[in-house]
Amino acid sequence: MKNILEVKDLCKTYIVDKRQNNVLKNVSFNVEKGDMVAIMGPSGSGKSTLLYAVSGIDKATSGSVKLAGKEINSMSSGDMAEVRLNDMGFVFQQMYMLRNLTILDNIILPAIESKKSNESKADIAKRGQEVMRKLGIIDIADNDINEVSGGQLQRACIARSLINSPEIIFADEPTGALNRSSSDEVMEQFIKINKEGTSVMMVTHDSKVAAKCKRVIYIVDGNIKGEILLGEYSSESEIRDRERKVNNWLLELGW
Amino acid sequence: MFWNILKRDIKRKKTMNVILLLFIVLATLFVASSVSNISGVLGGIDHYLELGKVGDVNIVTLGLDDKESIEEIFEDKDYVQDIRIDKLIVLASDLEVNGVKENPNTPLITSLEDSPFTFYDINNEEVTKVEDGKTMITVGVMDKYGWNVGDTLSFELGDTSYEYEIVGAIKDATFGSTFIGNTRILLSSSDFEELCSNPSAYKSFLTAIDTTDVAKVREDCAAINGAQIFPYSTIKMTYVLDMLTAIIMLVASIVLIVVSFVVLRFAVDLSVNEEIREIGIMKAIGLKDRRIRSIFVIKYMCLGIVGSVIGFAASIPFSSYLLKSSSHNMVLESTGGILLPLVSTLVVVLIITAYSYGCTRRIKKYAPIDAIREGQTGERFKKKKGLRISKSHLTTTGYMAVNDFKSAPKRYMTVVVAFALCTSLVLTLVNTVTTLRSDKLAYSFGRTSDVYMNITSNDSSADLLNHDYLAKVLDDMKDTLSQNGYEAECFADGIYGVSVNFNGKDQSLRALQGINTSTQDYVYYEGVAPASPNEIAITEPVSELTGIHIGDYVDITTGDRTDSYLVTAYFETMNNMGECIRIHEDTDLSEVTLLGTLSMQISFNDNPDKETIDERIEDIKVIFDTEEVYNAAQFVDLTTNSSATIEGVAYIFLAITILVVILMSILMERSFISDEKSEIAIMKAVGFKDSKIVLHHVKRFMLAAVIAVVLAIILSIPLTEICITPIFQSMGMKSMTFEYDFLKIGLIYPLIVLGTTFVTSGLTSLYTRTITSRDTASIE
Repeated sequence: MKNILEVKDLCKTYIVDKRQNNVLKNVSFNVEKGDMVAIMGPSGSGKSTLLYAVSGIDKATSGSVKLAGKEINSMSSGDMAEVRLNDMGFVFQQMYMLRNLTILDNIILPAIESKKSNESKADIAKRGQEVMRKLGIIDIADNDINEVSGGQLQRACIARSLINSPEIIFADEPTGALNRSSSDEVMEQFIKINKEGTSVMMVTHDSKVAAKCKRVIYIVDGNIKGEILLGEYSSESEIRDRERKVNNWLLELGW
Repeated sequence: MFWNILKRDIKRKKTMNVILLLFIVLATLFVASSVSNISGVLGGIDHYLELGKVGDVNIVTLGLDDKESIEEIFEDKDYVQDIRIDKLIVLASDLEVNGVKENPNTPLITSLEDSPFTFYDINNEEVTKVEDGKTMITVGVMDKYGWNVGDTLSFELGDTSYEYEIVGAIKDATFGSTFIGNTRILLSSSDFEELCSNPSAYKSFLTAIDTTDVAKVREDCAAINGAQIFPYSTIKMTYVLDMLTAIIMLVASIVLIVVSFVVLRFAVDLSVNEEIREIGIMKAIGLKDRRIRSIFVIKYMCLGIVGSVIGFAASIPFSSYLLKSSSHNMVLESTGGILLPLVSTLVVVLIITAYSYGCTRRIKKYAPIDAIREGQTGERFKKKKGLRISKSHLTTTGYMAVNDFKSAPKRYMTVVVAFALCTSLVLTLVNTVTTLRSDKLAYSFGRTSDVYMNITSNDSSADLLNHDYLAKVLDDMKDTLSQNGYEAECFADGIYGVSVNFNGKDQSLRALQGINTSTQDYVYYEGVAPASPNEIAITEPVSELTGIHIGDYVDITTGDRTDSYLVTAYFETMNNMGECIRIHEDTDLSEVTLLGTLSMQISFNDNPDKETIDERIEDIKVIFDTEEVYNAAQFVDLTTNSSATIEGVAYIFLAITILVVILMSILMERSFISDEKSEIAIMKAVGFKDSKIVLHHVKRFMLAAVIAVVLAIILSIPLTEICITPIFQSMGMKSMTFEYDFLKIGLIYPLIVLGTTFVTSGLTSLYTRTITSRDTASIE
């Protein structure tokens, strides 16, 4: 299958107090179109840095990142903004939204800003409502962001990441701030999105979340230590086995 | 601990603290210096009038040859303490300096050695000697015409020409104020005697009387034919324009204090919001509200003290500069020393401390858990009302700007209030200048006409101060105009000194009579125009002074005749600060000496428009060989002689407004950026370009500025009428109709404010470029 993301020899170095801190060391991997990848690793291993670097949220020190065939490391900030707007979606661990806008306005804001389609604002709003309906949050469309629960807000953030029909969604511990039931709801949405063809790459600490992905990459000290292919699952009953499999694999790698 | 918190706060919120400090410095600087200036000017005017030996009542008598007749009236009066009489020559001809002819306001020639009055040079030293062949002239006149020391002054009296070298400028307490602006020419005793021997010299006297009973002296003056009375209070009032800068500076400082408070409130609110978690922790560990509030109060008190000390220090040279600019026509010394500015500085510190304590009141409302939750009070399931992006026709950034404004109007109202306050004051002054430079006030100096010109006859002064002779001059003017193709009426308002008796009390008043025009041609705000020779109209100041009202009969002595007159109307005038009566044109005043006229007036029969009038004025200048021909607006401007001063103050205010706009835009925008760092990072993460974020921020400020400017434009009209009308009322007007230049107040000045906002907020919001989508990772 065609690669949506190609990462080669990616390095990220921070200089702190004149000391060089190599957070990512020559990381290389690919994500195929339609794939759903979980990045796991201990705290400080560089998994969030990796996610930010491959999604263009942060600039890599060296190496190559190709998103849908376009090298993002050499892009200007304006072009990068275009890519972020049209080609990818990003879901943060904290449910960041603009506080003065309603939930629906927050969701459709990137679509209105995008010149991808010539839809009217009313059509975009309808599309936004449709996405919200799919994610089960249509009731909170006109609410303020501080008037809804964490799970609803995170689903709203997912809706926002989906509004421009991106090729890939990056998610940084999207269930990290949620309780178990909210976490399950959110993961269901990611799986649904993925089944519809959107690639997903997420960072997680939770092996149950990782077990729902098709592939898991384990990263330690800025290096990929291993990866496991889980494939698709057909029923909820498989999740427990997949989770056990992920846990055993992680133990083997020294988790 | 407090010191550490303070240190950290100063370091973290450097920009905000610096700007707040600047506002405090400016507010203290303006308060301290203007308080010092006003106290200096208010106390100083009395001191100056005393130095200049201005009397409680000052009388100008024209056409008298000896002063004994004046002395006789007052010599046996026990309420008269002192009497000083100065002999003057009133010059009607043009003055020529270095070959350039000018016609300054009523030149009065005085012998320095014989004068009982004291004059001062520009260094505030008493002038004790003027040598033969030399002269010293009023400083305001020297400035107005650009005359310098070393120039040669010449004039003609009859057939004789006189020449003197100008050796200095003088300050004349009686007639040297900006509003009166008479031209005092000091000569040596022998030069003055030489002039007096010229039969064309028109002699008069200035008498200053010190008295315990001003009213009785004024009644006595009724016995002097053609006397013009200037009570001490009137002369003091004429210095109102010289005090204008000081008064307006005080208003500016009050505005700056209000703006400083608005900024302070914003800064305290923002600080409390940012420190909400710390406040919660402090509350959770048991610190009392007062203790927590004191952290904030101490910070603002420290800022207040530092700012006030700097402001106070800067106010010392600034107030001496202001005093110097106010005392150009006066001998002034700072009367209050540093005590008054020091007290006002302390008051500023106290107000800032008390105000910041009040602003921290909401800390009391927080429970530890509220603070720890950062002000969020949990889930509320209600729908948000109002704007929706999908229904808006605005661009994304435009919508977000409007939505931000609507969602948190209080924080933007700070900008709106401060900008509107400053701008409306600028516009108020602009409206005042526009009115003073329009023909709106022409009616307050008599009948409105198309053209006003100064008398440029070569006739002697004495001839021109005769009603019939002046009427003939006007007829000749009319003929000359007719020969040149202009059919017009030529008229003037003659000014006479008359004695009015009502209820047994005499009062010497200024009477106005139209020459070659009718009382019907003038404006009256109550009653009907005098229609017969025994009817008069009066002003409100005259009514207040004498108790006369419409329907009363009064006895008026004109020359040797006393007749009864019916009061039929009230009119308003700024002539003689409103103390005037108007006499019917058929009342015979041919035997009464004219005190003068304001101007020769021309009213064209074909009602030309303003452009045509201006074209004709150029012709008239050639026909009558004079440059002193004006349209109605120019005449009002020249007569009130204050628009330039007010315009200067308007520019100072505009500079203050621009400074406020710049400082507030930087302060608020930097605060907003720091408060919205996470939102900016999110917007960038979802694909907003830097330029769009800058645009969003600029649009918010522009929206606030546009609202402020619109408010200022709307407010400036009632503000002008409420604030400026009393000033004109003190000069004799009953009511005021202002002229508004909508190009200036609706476009030019608002554009300056909006342009400044645009540039400052634009440049400041470029700071958002330092925030990247990566910063979403470090949001707390």
